[in-house]
Amino acid sequence: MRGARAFGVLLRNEWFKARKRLAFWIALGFYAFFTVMNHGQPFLERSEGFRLPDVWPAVFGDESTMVVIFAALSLVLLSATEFGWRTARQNVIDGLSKSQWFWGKSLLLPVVGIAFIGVHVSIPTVLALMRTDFGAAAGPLVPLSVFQAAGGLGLAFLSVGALAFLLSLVIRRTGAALAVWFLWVGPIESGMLPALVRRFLPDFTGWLGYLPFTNAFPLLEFRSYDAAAYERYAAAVDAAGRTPPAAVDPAWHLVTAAAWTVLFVGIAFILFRRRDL
Amino acid sequence: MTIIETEGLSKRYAALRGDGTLAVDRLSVQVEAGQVYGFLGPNGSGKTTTIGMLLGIINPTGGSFRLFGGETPAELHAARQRIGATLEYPNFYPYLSCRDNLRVVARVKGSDEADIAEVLDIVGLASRRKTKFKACSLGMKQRLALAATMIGDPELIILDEPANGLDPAGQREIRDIIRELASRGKTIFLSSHMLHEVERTCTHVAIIETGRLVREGSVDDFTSARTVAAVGADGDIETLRRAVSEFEGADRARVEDGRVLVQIGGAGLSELNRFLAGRGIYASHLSLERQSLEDAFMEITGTPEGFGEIQ
Repeated sequence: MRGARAFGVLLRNEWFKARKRLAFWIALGFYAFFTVMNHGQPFLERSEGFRLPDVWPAVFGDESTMVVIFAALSLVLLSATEFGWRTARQNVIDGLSKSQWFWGKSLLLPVVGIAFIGVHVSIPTVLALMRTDFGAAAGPLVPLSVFQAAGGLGLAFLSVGALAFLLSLVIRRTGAALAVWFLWVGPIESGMLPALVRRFLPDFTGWLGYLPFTNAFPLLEFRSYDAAAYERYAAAVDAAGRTPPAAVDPAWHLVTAAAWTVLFVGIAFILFRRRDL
Repeated sequence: MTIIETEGLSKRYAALRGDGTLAVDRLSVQVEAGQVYGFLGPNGSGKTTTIGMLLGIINPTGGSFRLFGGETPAELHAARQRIGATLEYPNFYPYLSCRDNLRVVARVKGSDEADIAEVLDIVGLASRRKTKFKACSLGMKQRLALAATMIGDPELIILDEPANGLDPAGQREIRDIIRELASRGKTIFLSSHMLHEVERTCTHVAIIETGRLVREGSVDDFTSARTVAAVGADGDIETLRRAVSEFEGADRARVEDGRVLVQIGGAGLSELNRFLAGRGIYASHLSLERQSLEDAFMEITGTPEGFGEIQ
């Protein structure tokens, strides 16, 4: 089994296992419910900005953090359990090479990402579509910056999800992998590490913005990709009597996210190949 | 054709995660096409580790092995497509049905999904194909594992304790399936504690202990290597046992079922009878019996300790 055929078999098998897994659908369903609740109020109240194309900053904003967390949680659930059930070793016994098993499992990163981001984007889009006055809309309903933001969100998930994937394959236990992942993205990266760097390495404080989870934040914001959206945001902040943050160029954050993804997946591959199943 | 060949194969577990012990120590065995090869050893002797290395889930730390003559990673990967195997306990996705679990296996092996119905039928799970794995009894799980090994009609079947934890009826079912596979000319590499069954089913046997090969040969080599005389006589059985023990060449005289069993090396029964008569003991029963594989195993491995599941 080689090349494109191997890729097809691995993808089909991973999707087959995921779609038959109730826990995966519960996580996805719960996120869909969360998304409906999140956008339900502006939809029901027919809020001014809840229509195309004004809705995009609400789709790609702070709430996008939740899709990253839910998707990473599902990824750990679908990966680490293969070790608890010893099905990873059985798959290899049945004829997959260890490399094939690894790359097959790594396909879950885009598969899970697409599923959750699809839910994250499609629900508010459909709701906003129902409130859109097509005749009154100025400019395209779905500007290019929406695709850039979706791509940025996807890459942000890949970088943070790759860390969850690495932990799943190294720790091989769902609960422990999730605990370490939350510990990293929470207390360590957002608390202890910045404090230590500011205290002992103050010259490197600027680098903190490129840590995996922190680096993902600018990629989640629609205003990072859309100048007009940034102008509206800055004006709103200014009107509230606060100083608006400077506009972010997402380019370096995209490159950094890609680098984190490659690094985490690469480390996972090397460690997985070296260890017995 | 040589199907499995190991040369000085070794595995030492890392001290960090394991206990640093040498689980397999320079093991060299050879399995030819069509053989039903019993791989025996006490618990912890390195059987599962050896099989794990052959199947690619455990990295060897020394030596080499060939499967179907292939040695490079690509050749071994291709060779493993021709193998059906189970290792220790059946490992399947608990939320998938028996049939869906076999679908996963069939895709990995590049096999036709039509095989699934056939193998489920062979192992008697056709009517339970929709039962989720987590709802299966241990016997069903073992049978499903056997079904998985048969997907794709592999040339070599490796079974590690396929009847572990089964009741006698379940063991018999597994045994019948193995015999059926053997009768189809498959090469079978079987690790089992069921020594009686190994004796009946296997053509060749290797015994390993603490990771090292102790002895390898045909089952006949093991069972006829020593002739066992069964002696019965009127009077005190212990007196008989002591007298038999003094016969030149006698070894391991023991009492069993009111008789004394003793290995008599090259000597014949008539010499033993004369010897006993000279001691005033007249045998009421005197016969030669072949040593069982179990006897040979116990003799080779020393004590039955660590081999608590002899069937």
